Amino acid sequence: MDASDGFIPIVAIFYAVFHPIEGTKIVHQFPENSISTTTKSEEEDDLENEFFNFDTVKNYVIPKPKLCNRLISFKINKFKVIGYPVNMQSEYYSRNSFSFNFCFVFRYGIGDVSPYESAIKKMGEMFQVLEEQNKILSKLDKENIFCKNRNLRNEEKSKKVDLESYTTTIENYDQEVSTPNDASMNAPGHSKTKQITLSSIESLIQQIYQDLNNYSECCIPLDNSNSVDIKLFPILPPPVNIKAYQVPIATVKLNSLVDVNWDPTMIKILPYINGLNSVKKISELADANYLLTKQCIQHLMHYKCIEIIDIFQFSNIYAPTSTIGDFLKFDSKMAEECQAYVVTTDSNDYTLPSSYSNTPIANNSPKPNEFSPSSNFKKFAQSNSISPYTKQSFLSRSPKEYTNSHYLNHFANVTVPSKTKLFHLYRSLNQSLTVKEWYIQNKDDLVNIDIRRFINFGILRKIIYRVYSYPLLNSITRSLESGDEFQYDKYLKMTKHEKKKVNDSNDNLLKTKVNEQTLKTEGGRRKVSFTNSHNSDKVITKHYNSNEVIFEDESEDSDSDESGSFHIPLSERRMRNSNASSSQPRYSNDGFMFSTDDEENEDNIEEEKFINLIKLLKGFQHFDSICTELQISRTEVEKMIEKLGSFRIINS
Amino acid sequence: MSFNLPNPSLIGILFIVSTHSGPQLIYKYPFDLKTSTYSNLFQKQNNLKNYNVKLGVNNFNDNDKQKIKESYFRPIDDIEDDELYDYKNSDEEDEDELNSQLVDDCYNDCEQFGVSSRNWDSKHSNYYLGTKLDLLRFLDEQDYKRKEQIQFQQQNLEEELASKNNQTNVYDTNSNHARLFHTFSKASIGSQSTTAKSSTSTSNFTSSINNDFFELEPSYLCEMLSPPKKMCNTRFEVTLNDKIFIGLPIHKFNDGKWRVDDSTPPNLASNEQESYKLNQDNESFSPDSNSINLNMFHMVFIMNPAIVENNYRVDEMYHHVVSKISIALRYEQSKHEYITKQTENILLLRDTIFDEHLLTERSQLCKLIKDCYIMISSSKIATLLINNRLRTFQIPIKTEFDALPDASVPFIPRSYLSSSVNLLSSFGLVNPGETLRYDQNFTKNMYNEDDVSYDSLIYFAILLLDDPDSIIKDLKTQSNSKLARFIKIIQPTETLIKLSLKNSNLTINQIKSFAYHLIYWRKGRMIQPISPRSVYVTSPMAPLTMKLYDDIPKFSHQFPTLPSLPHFLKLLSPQVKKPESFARIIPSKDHRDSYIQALAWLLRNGYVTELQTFIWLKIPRKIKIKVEEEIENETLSKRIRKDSKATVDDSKNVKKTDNSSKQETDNVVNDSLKIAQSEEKSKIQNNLSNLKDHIRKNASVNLSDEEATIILDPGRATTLERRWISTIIHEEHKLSSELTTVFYKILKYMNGKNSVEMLMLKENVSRSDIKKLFNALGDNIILVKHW
Repeated sequence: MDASDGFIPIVAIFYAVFHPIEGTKIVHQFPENSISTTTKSEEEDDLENEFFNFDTVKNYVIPKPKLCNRLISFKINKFKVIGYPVNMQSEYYSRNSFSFNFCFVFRYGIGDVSPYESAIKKMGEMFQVLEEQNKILSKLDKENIFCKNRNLRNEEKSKKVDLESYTTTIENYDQEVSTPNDASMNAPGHSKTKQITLSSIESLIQQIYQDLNNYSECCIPLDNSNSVDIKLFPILPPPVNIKAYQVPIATVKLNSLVDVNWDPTMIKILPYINGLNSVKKISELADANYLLTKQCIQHLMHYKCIEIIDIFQFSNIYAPTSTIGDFLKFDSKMAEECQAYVVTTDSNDYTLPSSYSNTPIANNSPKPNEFSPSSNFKKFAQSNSISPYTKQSFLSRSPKEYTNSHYLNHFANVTVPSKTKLFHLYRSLNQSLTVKEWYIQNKDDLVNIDIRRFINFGILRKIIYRVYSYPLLNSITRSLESGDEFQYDKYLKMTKHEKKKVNDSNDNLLKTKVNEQTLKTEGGRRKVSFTNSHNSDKVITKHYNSNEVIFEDESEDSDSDESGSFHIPLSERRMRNSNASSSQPRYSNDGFMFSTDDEENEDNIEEEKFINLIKLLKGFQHFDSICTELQISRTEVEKMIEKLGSFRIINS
Repeated sequence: MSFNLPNPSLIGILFIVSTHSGPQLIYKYPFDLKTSTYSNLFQKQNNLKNYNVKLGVNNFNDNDKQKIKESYFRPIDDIEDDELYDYKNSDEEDEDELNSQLVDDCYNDCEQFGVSSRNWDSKHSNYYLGTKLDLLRFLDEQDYKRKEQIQFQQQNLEEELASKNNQTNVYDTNSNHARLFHTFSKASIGSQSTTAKSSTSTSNFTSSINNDFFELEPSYLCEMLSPPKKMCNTRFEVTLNDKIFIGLPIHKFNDGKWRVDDSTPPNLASNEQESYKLNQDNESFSPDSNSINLNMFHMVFIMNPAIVENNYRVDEMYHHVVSKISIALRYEQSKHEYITKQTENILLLRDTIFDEHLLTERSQLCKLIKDCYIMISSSKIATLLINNRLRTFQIPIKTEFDALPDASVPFIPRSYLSSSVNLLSSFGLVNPGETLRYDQNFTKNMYNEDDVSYDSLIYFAILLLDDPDSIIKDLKTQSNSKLARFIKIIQPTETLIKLSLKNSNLTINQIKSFAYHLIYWRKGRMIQPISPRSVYVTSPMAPLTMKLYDDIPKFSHQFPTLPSLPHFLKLLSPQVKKPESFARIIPSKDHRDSYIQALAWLLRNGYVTELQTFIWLKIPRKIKIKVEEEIENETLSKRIRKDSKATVDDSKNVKKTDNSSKQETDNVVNDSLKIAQSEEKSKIQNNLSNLKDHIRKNASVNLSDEEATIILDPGRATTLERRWISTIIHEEHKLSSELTTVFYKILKYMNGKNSVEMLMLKENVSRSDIKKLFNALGDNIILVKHW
């Protein structure tokens, strides 16, 4: 039988019990005779049709009672057997205990059996309860061998718990089974009912076997309130943690998936997932909390509804990867898909200028997460925000469908670029060429090609990769080289002071305070570190670091309880507060507020941006990340960094 | 989190034997697999240790150890304990305050935003992929941790100084170390963690072999883990809830032997031999009356990998460690009754010694089990003394990639990216990392080219990952041994073949085996020889965000006269039109050596990768038309010839030839589907018929004619392709005879899979010849540059 949905097929199911006389034995199995139950001599190695000899493994099928009631799997020959052996102690039973196990047999080493495990466990637990309440399994034996005193069963009947109450754990037997429980059980000749129940367990495992293999699920009613319901789910790895600057791009029509039960944040953010907005940007546009947005997007990614690309800008650099050769491979069909995906509606007069004008060539550094959408661009973007190409989505979309899509009909004289040409375009990207420069070089070849789609296609198919640019502040390098990190903090302070003086010569007292407060976080830490490391030097250190440290030291103590003051325990809090707009009222009561003075507030924000920038620089983040975090364009970031000193850009 | 990260998930090793008196647990390590919670703790501890993986790049001293722990990121699914991450250092109250503020802050957020497990945001790692919170906060924490670190180091330094002054203070330092480790492991298992770490400190509580573990009596487990004979001598795997017991139980055969002796030829002599052996066996059993009658022994590894990694981790452990150790033990048992003797020894010792630690010291078998656990669970190489013979086992780590991993796939920092990894992995030299997270196809062999020639190994160079002297020391080889001398002459600029030519006392085979050795020991890496004329760029996998902080000082320490690391990297990422050869950034001849050294350093640390050139041949449309015409003419002339000879079946023949010419083309079309892209048109007809239909309906849309074809595998070109090729070189470009020779020499490499740099070495073609050829071919040679 074929594996459906990628689950490996069950090759057999058997039901085994510990027989008071015969020991562990298989009562039923399906398919019949899969597992040899005859005792053979050691040498005589079996088995054409049989998987393994039951005798060998019976101690694993029904292990010692202490090992029971847990999921046990074992390997035997080329098979893996999973079961949930149940052992029940009760005076009712002939040996004061009763053990059974429903075992599932799989081929070993051909796939993952973990989707079955929880189902098997659940099934074992369910039958355990049913046995406990109804003796549903032990009763099945014709000789009633499991029962110590057959008369006890009458008493048992009265003890029986109502099955109806038992909906959560599924199951019990068909009505025929429950009937004997109620009435015919007392009758001396219950052979009839027994027969039915016996066959029912046989048919039960047969049906489980067939349904799970064919449909990956089964729903077998046992009586009006209980049933064996199993559905297999693939076990996916936990969601990946995505970053603020990454851009989700849908692989399916997300809107078609929405139903009423969806998370409100999810619904809020959906319209903004268009392959252009970064995660952070989405959270802002949707006015949703960043962390929640991130989680939502991670979930979408978990279910493969989106893929992650980078922020498209004309200042980006892309270069071929080692898998670029796949583009030419015949069987991959990548080239055709690319042709269909990147071809755009028309020639120079519309697409190129529009996409071009939107990604500011003039200043060479577009805002990473903000495409100031000119009207042209909007059009352009709209057509793009339909599902992009991905492995999954492409299969469901033939090129025809694509070319048939509304817009191709509207335009005349579209020439689909040849594959050789597309390949040539991909290969002409390199590690030190921005998209803009590349465009200028290849302008003639790019007619009818949507550049953003072209790049996205390359990224998603991994034939090109994004080369990120990392700004590295020289002063950071120097301070690290000299091994004196704290010196760096000091250095920064100086710069800021100077800057302050230059910029705000008419400054007021408040600003100075802000500045000091800025220092406080870092200064505080520095102080701590020095205190601990050179106790003897403490005093000197403090002096050395100027009186600010001491001042901060005092202020820090007051942080926790003083509210409404200027003291903000952690600079990032401030940052978050300022960024988080109205969505985080928590912080406003939290004891730190900005002065009502607008001007000062601005300064505050400005100041924070610098602090954050420094943090980001010290964390060696790339431009995309910095721009996203500070929500300003790359040009602005560069200007800000310049104020801090000279820097180098590394492309990696 | 990903297969790229080492995660042995090993929680313990048991050693079980079965004698005539039934199964018996002989030894277990760790001693206290007592409760299931312990396993968790151990797991955590393992996680920590994992990141101590020695890449060979760094030789860390003790002080640095914490740093490594911090710097290797932790798996995201790591369990619930990170909030315990605070330093219990009495004189650091301010700091604690600050820290707890951070913690509180995060906590509030977690609660508010439903970020349930804080462990996801790795407090210790420098790795943003791990943080569930926002970047700035992460950076703050990172910063904070670093400062803490520095303090700790300083403090340690002071204390060490103090202890040097005062020898009696040793114990204090020890305990401080213990505390250090303790705080870092964040687990309150004090003694436990230290035992695992350093054998010097002894645990307080008595552990006995008879203690329960995993809330089970050992006897039950024992029974379960000594399987019936039919399940022996093959892979054994039993799962109890989330714990997997994996092993290769070795059972005595019916003839009393432990191994099937393949070497014995099936002739009369074998009978004698066998009887002799039987005698021997009997002898060895008979003399000692106390001797146990060993039927089976089983070294069981207990693992609890994450569900998604389950199969992979278990397979990994089985193939690399479990099976190999068991077979080694079997060998020793069959030759020297090793297990029997050791078991007897242990049983004897147990009568007198009640301390497991002491026992471990006394028994070789116990010692090796302990070492095995410690090393394997920390992803290191286990060097075990089995019957006085050193054997090594390891789960290879994945630090080399042939393709860029997805943005979401974590990898060990300083991993190396090069397409040559693909080739090397086919030699079994390296274990390439996965590029997709939990890729289904990952475990399958990726390189199935049949033309892999083992010989091409000699055209690679070895990049040592450490300085030669410390490698020699680590390998415990004599400083005047051949290996040591070889290590000293290794230059990353020279291929193995060059090395062998230069050093006549080493054969190429010796060199190859030394190379294997170095790679196995994670001391070296095969690279394309470094050349100033090659192009290097910063690797997309460069550990900039993660390692730059540590590496800037290291780099400047190692190369004080050179520009800083950032400057160097900047030189390698030029803002001009395209990346240039390394020679361009070397200011003068005098700088050459130091720049090459620095480049080697960058390669070693994963900052830089070589940009190699890969080539394809393009056939322009006019050549194709020309060839087509020629073929037509030929068939025409053929037909005419045939016509002239024509007899009765004249018309039939004509028809046939007519068809055949067509068929030929058609056949070529179909045949070369896989190989060449030559038949774009027909392909489009077949595959893009939809598009065509559409185009027909909308006459305005044109598929631009596939004016050119790229030949994918010229080594296996079809007849038609070969005609194209010969036309292009002889008629289109009119190559000179020398260039034609060069062309045919490298033709088979024009498949986009072999780099020009490598083929120059292999085919001994000079760079200038290649350049000339490429110039002559102009547009029709397609160059692609990637790693």
